[in-house]
Amino acid sequence: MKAINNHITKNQYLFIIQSSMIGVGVLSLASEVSKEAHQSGWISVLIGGIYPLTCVLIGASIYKNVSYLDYFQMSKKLYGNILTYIFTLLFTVYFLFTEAFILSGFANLMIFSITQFLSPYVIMIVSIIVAFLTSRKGLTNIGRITELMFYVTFFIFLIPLYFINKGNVTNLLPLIDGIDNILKSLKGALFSYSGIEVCFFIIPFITDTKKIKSSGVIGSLITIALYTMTVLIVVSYIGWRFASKLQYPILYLVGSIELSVIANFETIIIFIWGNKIFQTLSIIHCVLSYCVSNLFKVSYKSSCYFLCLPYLVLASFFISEHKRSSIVDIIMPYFIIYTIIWMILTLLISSIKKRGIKNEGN
Amino acid sequence: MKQEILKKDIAKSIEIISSKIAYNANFVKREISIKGNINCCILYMKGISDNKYIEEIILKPLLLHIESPIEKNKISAREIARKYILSSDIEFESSIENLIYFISSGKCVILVDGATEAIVCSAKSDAYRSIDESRSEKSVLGTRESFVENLDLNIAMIQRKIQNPNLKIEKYKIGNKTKTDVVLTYIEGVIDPQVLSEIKKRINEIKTPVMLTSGILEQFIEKKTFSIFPQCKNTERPDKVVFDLLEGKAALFVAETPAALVVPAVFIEFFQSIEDYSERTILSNFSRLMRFIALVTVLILEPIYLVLLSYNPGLLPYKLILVIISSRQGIPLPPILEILAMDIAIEILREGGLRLPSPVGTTLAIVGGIVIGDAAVSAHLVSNMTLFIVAITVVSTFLIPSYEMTLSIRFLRFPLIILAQAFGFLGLLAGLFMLIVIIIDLESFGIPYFSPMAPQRIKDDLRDTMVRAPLKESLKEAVTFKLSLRRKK
Repeated sequence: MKAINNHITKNQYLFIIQSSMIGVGVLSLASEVSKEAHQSGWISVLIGGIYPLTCVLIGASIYKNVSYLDYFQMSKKLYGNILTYIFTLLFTVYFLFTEAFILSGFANLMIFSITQFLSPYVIMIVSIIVAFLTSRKGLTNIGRITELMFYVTFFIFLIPLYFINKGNVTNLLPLIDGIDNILKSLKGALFSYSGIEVCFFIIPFITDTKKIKSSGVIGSLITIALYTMTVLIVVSYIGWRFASKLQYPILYLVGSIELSVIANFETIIIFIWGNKIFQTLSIIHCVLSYCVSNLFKVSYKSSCYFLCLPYLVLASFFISEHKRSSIVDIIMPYFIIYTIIWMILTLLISSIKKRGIKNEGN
Repeated sequence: MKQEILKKDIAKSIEIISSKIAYNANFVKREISIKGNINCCILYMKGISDNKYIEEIILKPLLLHIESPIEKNKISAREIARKYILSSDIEFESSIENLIYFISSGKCVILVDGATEAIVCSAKSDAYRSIDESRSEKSVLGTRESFVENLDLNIAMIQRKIQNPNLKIEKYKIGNKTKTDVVLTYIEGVIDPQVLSEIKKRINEIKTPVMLTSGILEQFIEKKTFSIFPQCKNTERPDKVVFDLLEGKAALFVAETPAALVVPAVFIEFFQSIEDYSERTILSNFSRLMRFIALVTVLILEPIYLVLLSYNPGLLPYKLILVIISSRQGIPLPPILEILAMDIAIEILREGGLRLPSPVGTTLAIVGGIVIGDAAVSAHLVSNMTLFIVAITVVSTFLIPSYEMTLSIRFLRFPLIILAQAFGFLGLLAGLFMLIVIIIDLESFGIPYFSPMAPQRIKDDLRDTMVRAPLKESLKEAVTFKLSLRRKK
């Protein structure tokens, strides 16, 4: 681990948080939530945003309670060796699945859109190589990349804005289409925020510990705003019925803009979004390698390298979007419940221990 | 190892020195006798020392202007120098090895019989190319002077522009065989001490028999030898060096090289020109923006054209497809070969033109660019559209002000073309992403290569990057090159 530089600034933390969640969700989210919540899908996305906000706030509080020890030191202090091993293993499996889902989703979309001529395995291998090369030098490089690329990928925000006055408001009415439906579609919305859990591992690497909470919150809010705005615009433009039938409604939307040099905006948005996917994959690969290197006492670089194979194998099971989304529906709820339980428990124990230490001091 | 020192017997000293500089037709030994009783010998190297200077400043006073008698046993080299030598730059040396080095470097050595020290006078010939306009970094509004092959003159050009007592000039000798003078200049108090010590450390670590140019020095002091990107900035312009020194960087000069090596250097600098600061703010920003558009054009225009032709013609608008189809009719080569063939032809022409005298170079450019291009299209080997795309790419490379960076960027389009051919848009996407990863991973003497954009310094240094703020703002002290200041922030 000596050659690896993991320190990040709080600004970089903000962008890592923002990038960790942008997976395939942004393109298919409108379809997912429209199935259950109909025109109120955007409300589910907005409510689902509580999850990343909670994660970053609780994560910051936990590490404040333990004086910013790193994840393993913190966990061992609160839970001991065996429980730390079990919890980290669960997180490792979770990240492995998340990365495999993103990777297969990316391959599925590329085949669907602009690289029909490539095998999904080729797309996955190329993406794994990119993720490996990006994450092998540690979190510092990833932090720098995310903060630089944020401005490039900012166009993802701007493209849907083109449609803001082209939609029909009646497509969004009535605003609330039954609380039950909104809650049902919350599941799909929550999955699109998966990846935020990396904050539990990277907070101790922030060099300036002031305003960690606000950086995390801003990072999450950017993604929440992007997701909500996308769903809102898609539904207002094409209506929830059509949106729920499409696999990637946002691509349909941008496909309708004609340009003089390129047929439509679809290519541009995939180009920009692909950049985001590489960032997301690299962030999760980095955290995954960090967990594996500490669990199995191997160097960070080796774990970074050796993890490429298992997650390529795992991702290959999820080729075809239908198969992938059905597996995501089965697996993800367990992981999200686990994360919620872990963070609440850790916050409580860390607060009790902190109070105990304070009392002893008095 | 024990150093051999001068003997009291002048004949013996001359014999030792002569034996060590044997078989050198330029070596001159001029024996004289002062007032008829003190033997002296003047040693120098013809060609690199100035004969006239030696005659006027050293020989003439010693032979003609000594009037009072000198007692043979009481005279010392220091006294002769003090009373009779007109040269302003004098030192004394007793080591034979050092004396030989001084003679080889153009100085004049005066041996005095009975003295164990020799007088060393600066007598280096000024027969150098005069100060001229830079050939590789031309400017319309900036100064016309550029560095020459004379190290002292190069340093003087800097000193004339920075009249600051904190301007430090340190000399190093590099190269076991060439013993080349390398000068490090920086402004104390402006340069970060950590960066300075890293520069000095790397200079001291150089182990090479030969040091001839600043390009060689660059490769010895940079950390990542196999990186495509230059980690030091080579410049011919003194005004550029002055700007850099004031920003907290150091400049290295190698003797007999008409360029300075500025360290550390970051990516964005290679796209900034000294003229940007002389022009009006909006106009200079427009020029900078054009350079970045040119950079993107060089990198992605050909790969995108290739992908659209080979894999995704459906992404092109109908009218554009018709134009491309009509231009490609009857072309037997696949797009990748068409593009690569044209690119390689242009690289060959450019490399050829570079070595030729300028009138012949211009002819070659005309023959290559117009005649060969036209012939290729007429022969149906290359389509009009491909020729147009390649030409736009080539012209775009000329907008990048730094020659070193142009070379790197020009090279980078080849891997991107290959990736685009292999994986279509995915290859291009992955290639560009990896390019950014590689740049971000680079450091120049501890300074992140992509700063001040990554890591970002929005408040401090973004005022002078892709665009520049008005001079009042953009000339404020930069934090990018100050590690200690950055940590505090």
